[in-house]
Amino acid sequence: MTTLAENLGKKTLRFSVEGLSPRDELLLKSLVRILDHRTEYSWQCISERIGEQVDLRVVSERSVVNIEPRLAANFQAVLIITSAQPAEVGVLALPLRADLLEQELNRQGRLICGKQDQLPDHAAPSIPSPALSIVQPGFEPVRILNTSPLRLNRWPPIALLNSSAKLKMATLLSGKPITVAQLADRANQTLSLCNDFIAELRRANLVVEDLVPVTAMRINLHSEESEENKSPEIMNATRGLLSRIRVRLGL
Amino acid sequence: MNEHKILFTGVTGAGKTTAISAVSEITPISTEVRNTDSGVSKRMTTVGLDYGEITLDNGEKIRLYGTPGQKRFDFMWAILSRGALGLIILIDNSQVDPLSDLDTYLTGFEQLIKETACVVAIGRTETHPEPSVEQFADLLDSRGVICPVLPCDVRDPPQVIQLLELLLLQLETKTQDVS
Repeated sequence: MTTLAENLGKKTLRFSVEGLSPRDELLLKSLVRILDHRTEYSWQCISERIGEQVDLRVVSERSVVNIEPRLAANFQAVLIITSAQPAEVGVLALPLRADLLEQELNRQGRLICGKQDQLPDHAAPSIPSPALSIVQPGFEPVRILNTSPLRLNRWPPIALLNSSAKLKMATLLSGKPITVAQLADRANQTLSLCNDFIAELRRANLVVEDLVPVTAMRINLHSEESEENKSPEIMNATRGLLSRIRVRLGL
Repeated sequence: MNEHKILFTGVTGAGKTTAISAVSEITPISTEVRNTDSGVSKRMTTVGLDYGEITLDNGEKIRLYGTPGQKRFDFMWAILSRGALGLIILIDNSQVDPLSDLDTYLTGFEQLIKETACVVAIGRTETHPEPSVEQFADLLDSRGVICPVLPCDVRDPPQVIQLLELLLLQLETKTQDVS
């Protein structure tokens, strides 16, 4: 029995959905089905299970932090759904727009299939994520999120810290180098806002990408070595303590 | 039961007692005496330390210590630093040389700052805008320290809580894994 996609001569690609609200997930899947006769590839949604290979992972911006380490290892394609206004490709805003979704699915499909064609048939390729700027041969290096850890090289002028959110983001960047996605998660801000803030810092030459190992970084406020020597139990206890202080202060 | 402490330091009159009062659940205990220092316009001054506390939901106590402000008591800074979670430096911008004051505390608490977290709060900027916050940031930069430095009125409790939040953010970052 042939599928509709096969009848139409379209290649079927598989995608998973992570971290979206049930309503947004349902809407996304419905739109993909409705767009099926228009998109260049046929997209089939599968439930993500451990070890299951998907061609594209559709994730909420909050899930980016969790998937990032896996992405770095597997080079999967990712489409990020955000509540903010996306400034770059590889990211779609809520509420979803059918025309933009179609455009993005076609773009991702072309990237995925372009890579698969270069691999042996038996290989189950994992695809570099354009959304995470992982550049592989044959792929267009599209910059969406900065995955390099970032840190301040100096405390910013007060004019750049005109909100409580920016003050918190700057504080988070004053310690260990962190990625924009981690910054968004820890500051509880949207990726878009974090990217904008990082752009402001970059213009003022106040932030640097830190590609060297953490232990080799400039020693400023934090003695990384002493932290690394602490056991996970101590670190967990410290996290618990800090969390309780937050609650007590009403933060 | 575990006990933890956060330090407030700064020159005499910078507002350490006031800052602790803003968040302590007990009336702060201060070892104050009549001021005989003609260079300081306050009737009483802390010669030992201020003490306040916060009790967490599991019964643990956060002890808030205000160090004596005078340099001659710096031997106590090292004692109080042992096991502290972090340091809040209060600068009084109406003093003769506030930048030098900050430099003194960066030296006196160098080890604590390296190992934990630090926030620098500049007081009385409304009446004494100079040195600017940027000049304090320059000094921190020259000492290899990157930490929050901001104007603050410690008479306003939310501003004191903000200082503590910035301290917590730094500590939380230290306990996170780096991918």
